[in-house]
Amino acid sequence: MPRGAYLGELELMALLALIRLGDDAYGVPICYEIEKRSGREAALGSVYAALERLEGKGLVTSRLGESTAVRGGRAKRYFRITAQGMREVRQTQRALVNLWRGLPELEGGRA
Amino acid sequence: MFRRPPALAVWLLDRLGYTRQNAALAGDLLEEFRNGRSAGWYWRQALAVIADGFPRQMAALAPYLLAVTAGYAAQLPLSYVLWSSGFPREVAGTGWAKVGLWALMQAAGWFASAAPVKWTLGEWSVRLRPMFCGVGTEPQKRATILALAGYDSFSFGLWSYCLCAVVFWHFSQAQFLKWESTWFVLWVFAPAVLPALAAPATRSAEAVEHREPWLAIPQREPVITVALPDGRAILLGRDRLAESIYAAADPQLTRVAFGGGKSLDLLRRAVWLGGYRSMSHIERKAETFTLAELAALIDETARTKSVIEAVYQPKRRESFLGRLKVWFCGDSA
Repeated sequence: MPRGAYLGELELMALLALIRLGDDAYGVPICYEIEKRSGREAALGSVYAALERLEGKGLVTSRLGESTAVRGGRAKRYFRITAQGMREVRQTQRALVNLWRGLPELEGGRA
Repeated sequence: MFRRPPALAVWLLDRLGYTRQNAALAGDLLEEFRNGRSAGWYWRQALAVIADGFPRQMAALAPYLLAVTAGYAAQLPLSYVLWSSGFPREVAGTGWAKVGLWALMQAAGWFASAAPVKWTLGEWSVRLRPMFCGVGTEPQKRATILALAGYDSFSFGLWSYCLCAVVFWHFSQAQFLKWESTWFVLWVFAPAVLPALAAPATRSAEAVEHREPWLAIPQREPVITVALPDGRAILLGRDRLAESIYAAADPQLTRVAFGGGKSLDLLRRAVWLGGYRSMSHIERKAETFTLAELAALIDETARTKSVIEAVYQPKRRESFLGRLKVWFCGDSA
């Protein structure tokens, strides 16, 4: 990933969902995971677009899985986070924690 | 057996849902829809995919659009010079002779466009846009296709002018510019931009089944797996069907299969239909049927005259309103 390029919010959520789901991560469970954890609806198309960007950056790899009749014969695409992706998540976490730290407005529910 | 999503949304998604993982995304949407999501949910998702993909597709197509526009723009001064000097002259002749000449020139024009593609890429085709979309990141082939697209657009513009001048009429400067811009918009730019006019990048298994049914014929005898209430799973094929059912010794399965005077032949046809649907896809992974699904499959088979009809034309006798409903809301077939 080029220096200075930041992860978008949905990209970060998708990466975190991939870490949680492990090898069974494809579009539908990734969407469910994001919705469950964030409490917001995630459109499948947006999640796929984010995953495609992440794949372009080398943070995610994908492989085609099985196709079933219930999917109209279309194969699933399984996604997996790469080592570079893990590094990027940790770096983003550190950056966000540093930004958070020492902000009294965001501590203890004070606004 | 399975719910079908709104046909219009599926069509739009196939044509305009541009993401590279389009087939996987379409499969995910279908899976979710069949897991109980509404037609409205399917429409929202499909429109979101299209809205998200359109700008990205335009960006990916930009070099191609630039090539065809540059090619067409390059022929414009040449055609204008020809027009200014009154060349070529209109050929005198009867109507039929002109029709023959027009057809001959059309064929020559197609050859002039297709021959360079054959020589460089080894394919008799002028469908360069799908080639450009499918070429991936091979820089040399990409550059070749772009050069061919520019040439194709150049030759099309020049040939169209010559064709009109020779066969039809001579036109004023205003008419010349009007026709040139009309040809460009209708025959060069619109087909390059509007993907609905081009074949989708990936054809779904359902589309393949409808257009080329012989490709979907299973390579082996269709069988279905049935999950019994006690947790066992049995395989039902058309051979030894009754034997398999009685060997399972499950009263519920026996009731579903033969209750209400159902014949063995009906059951055989149902197994073929269910097995066909499970196996006729890319990786031929069979689904497991519950007893309720098996009962629904038998009912569906009983309602149709032949299995082939059930497979290929399940909605042949639908009314106009029924068809509209399938287009916008899907159904539970």
